[in-house]
Amino acid sequence: MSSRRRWMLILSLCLATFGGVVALLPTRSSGEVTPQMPEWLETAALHRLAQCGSHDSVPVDWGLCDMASVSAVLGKSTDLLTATELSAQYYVVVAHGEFTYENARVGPGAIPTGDWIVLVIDPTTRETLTFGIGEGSLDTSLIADVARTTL
Amino acid sequence: MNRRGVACAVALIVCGLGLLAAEASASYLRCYAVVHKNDTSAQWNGARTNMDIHNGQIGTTDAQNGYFVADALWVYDVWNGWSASNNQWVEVGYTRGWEDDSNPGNNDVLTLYWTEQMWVEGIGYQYYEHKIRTSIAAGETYWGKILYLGGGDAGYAQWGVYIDGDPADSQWWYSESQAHDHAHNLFCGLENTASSGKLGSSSNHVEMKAVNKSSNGGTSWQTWAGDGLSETVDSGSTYHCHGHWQSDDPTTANWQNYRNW
Repeated sequence: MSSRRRWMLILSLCLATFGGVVALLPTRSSGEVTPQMPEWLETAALHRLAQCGSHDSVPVDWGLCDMASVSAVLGKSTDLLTATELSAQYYVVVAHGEFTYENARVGPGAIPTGDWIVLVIDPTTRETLTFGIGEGSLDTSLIADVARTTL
Repeated sequence: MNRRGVACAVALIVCGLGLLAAEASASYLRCYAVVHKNDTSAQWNGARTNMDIHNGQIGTTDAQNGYFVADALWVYDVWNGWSASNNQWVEVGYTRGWEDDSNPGNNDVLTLYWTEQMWVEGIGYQYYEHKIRTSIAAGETYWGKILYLGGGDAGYAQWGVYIDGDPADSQWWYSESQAHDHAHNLFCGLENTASSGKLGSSSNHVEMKAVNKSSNGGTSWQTWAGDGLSETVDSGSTYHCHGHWQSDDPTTANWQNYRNW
């Protein structure tokens, strides 16, 4: 093998390795590298996914944002919330798939099914303050610095 | 394969199907013991109930499976029946069987909560459950209240959720649902999905806030009595669900509906 061919081979291997590493990293929608989902948050999300009948890999959008953004993602109004409540920060995790929440506390009627589930979690206490399931789709681009992963 | 082999295979398949069926039916265990007011001509402004907190129990296995027992009040903006998926309601109550955030999978927590199901333009039907607080204990009493606040954005009806007169202290304390002016259906009582679930002896004192259809401004609370219903829901001390229609229905007249679903 000539010296030139040898260098071409080494360069190709380096590019392939770099590409593989980048492909394995969690990315933002824009393709930027983002921090990995905290382990405790992933555990909470996986548990809820299992509760809703999901045992396969599903796409998950998540991020840390204020209450105003959380409300916008969920399509809920904010006109009765205070400025303090609107500025509070929460982790939002939205999973996309087909879900049935048989453990829902519901009034007399059918149990909820949906195309997404969402968790709103206090980053300090790690409490899940709101859990939801619903039809259609949520605009997760409204989550500041939204990241996508698979759980 | 000889006959013995075929017989074994068939037996295994039958056993497997039986186990699957048992698992499937177990997951649909859900019982209610409630009082129900249904009046399509009424326009209620809200309802409230006192909740006498009991520790109750649901059993370790049921807790791990996410089953629960709850004592709650439901105000329906739209109620289309026991099996309908397009109901819209707001619920407030207390429950044993809430998720333990510090130990996911352990669902044996006692908490105050509220839930909502509503329709949102551009999205569809949504269901949410909100934690209010877990710092409650047996022997305490709380008033849970759901109150019509008026019309919100885009013709939606807004319902506020209160504990002891204050907005429920989660990040949300109110719900918006598709406008069907005020409520025509109220439920109050027990919901149970745990085969060994019970909340001890519970006594709800329930009231509704009526609003005159023409004046649209009722301000006084009225008891449920006078409409064939008692104001008290007595769940009894040994309430259980067993995954089938109950033959031992409570004999008290105020248990209007008691069924599995």
